[in-house]
Amino acid sequence: MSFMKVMNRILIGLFAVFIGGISILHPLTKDIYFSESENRVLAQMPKFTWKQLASGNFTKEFESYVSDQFIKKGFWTGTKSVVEKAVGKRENNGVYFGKDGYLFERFEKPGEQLNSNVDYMNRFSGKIKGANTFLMLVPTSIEMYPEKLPRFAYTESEKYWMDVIQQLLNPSTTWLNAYNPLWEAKDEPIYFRTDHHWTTHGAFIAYQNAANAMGFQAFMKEDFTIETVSKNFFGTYDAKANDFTVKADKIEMYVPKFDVSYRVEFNDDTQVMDSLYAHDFLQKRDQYSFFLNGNHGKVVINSSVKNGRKLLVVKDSYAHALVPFLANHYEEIHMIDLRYYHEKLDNYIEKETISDVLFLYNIATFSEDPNLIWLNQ
Amino acid sequence: MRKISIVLVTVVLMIMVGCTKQSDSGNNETTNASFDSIVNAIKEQMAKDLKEAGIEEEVLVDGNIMNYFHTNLTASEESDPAIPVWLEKMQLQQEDIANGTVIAAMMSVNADEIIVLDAKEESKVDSLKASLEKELQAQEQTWSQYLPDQYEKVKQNVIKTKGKYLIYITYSNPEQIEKVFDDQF
Repeated sequence: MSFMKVMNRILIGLFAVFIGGISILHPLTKDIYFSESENRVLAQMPKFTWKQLASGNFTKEFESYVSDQFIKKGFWTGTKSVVEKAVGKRENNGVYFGKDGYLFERFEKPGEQLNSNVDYMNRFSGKIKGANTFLMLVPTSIEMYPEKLPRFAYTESEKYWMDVIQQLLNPSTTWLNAYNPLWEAKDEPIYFRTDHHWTTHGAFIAYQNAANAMGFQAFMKEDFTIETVSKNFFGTYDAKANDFTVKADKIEMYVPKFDVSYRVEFNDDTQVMDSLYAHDFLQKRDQYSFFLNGNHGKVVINSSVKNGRKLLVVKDSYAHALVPFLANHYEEIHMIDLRYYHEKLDNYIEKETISDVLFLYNIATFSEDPNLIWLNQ
Repeated sequence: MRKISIVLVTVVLMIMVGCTKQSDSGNNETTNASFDSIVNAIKEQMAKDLKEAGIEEEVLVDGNIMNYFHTNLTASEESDPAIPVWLEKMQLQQEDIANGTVIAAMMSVNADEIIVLDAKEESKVDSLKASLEKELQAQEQTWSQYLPDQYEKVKQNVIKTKGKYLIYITYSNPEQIEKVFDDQF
């Protein structure tokens, strides 16, 4: 037998084992319901009916079932991503591989939704009398580190659109500038490298800067003990980029050295905590939910600060890192997420005798969120 | 020969007319299903599902499911502040619908949303369908971020048309609601 023939046989053998082995192993391995690394529910074996088959649904669902439940899927997709990066690919699933282990998501040029959202806010602040309104829009990490972006990476300027919004904003709403103080602190870890949120430290800087306008005296860094609660946080950018070589982020918690206590109530008292942090989430993929227990329609925080001040925060998840600092200055904070909570807010403000209203979003959510329309009720 | 073919053609034409008539009356039957009975059947199914999920209190009270908003899209805009919001959100013209209802989760982090529309005329069905697709886009935007189990519901969304009726289903088991809807015809 010639050498070529032997080689061919080996190759054919390997090929057969690979193809055959995977199809044999597939039924033997247990299907997975939820992928922690992708943070999503995986497709399950579809139910067979003749009707489903005729409509083409069955084959479609079967295909996503096979690709979702593929053996060692993470290994194959991870390998693909690493190989692609090695040959010069700069992005995966819309996330750029930046320098120094940073992952970035592009900020898309805003459409009509941005104008509508400013309009909803303006109409709303015109409607509520007797409460101060504030708007804080936070840039995302890509805006802060253009020098860490891969060459020729494209992203729309967030600063430009923030200026546009500030111009359009009803002057009765106070603009809280988060951009400048964050820019000045950009050499510090103000954003997670692997997640789309800001860090506790980033939020702390914005909080200190907002204090004056909101009418309280901010605490200093020395007033807190800073504890590192996680060193193995891989966030949403990581889930998209799927890059083995990216290092984990750490999460910090600012524990007040002064005396203060809280009672936190979720969705009309269905769940109550005496802490602003949910440590359980540090064992899961979605570690950012450590802050204020993740996403809820409505959260009410009562603090031991008895000054009678009541704040309503209309927000996205960026607020979760910042609101713990505000909780030391307000007796009550009501946090509303318009994505999940659709009550008439001007009535709510009156009923709960709210004195300050803070709108807090990152610029990307604010320009795309289709739910600010609920302010219009 | 010619006579025979004339007879044949006539017979064929009569059969065709007969058939068209029949399918016409079939269509009429479709529009005879009442809007209220569709919505009530859906509510009953939802109540049953909630019961099975372990909720002990009475779920369906005075025709409304507890902890869900029920918005009657054809009521006056003043009667319920959610009405103009839904209309604007979906770019829906109130005069295009004879009836319309939205059932949506109230404040828990839950993507459940069922919309039933009854077009005033058949010609409006396409634009109503476009409204429902707009709403689906909004739900995609809202839920794609980081609530995987809820996003799963949105991904399995069903939009369906039957005669002048349209249904939009974001729900844990949309097939069940779809079946309830189908069974009404």
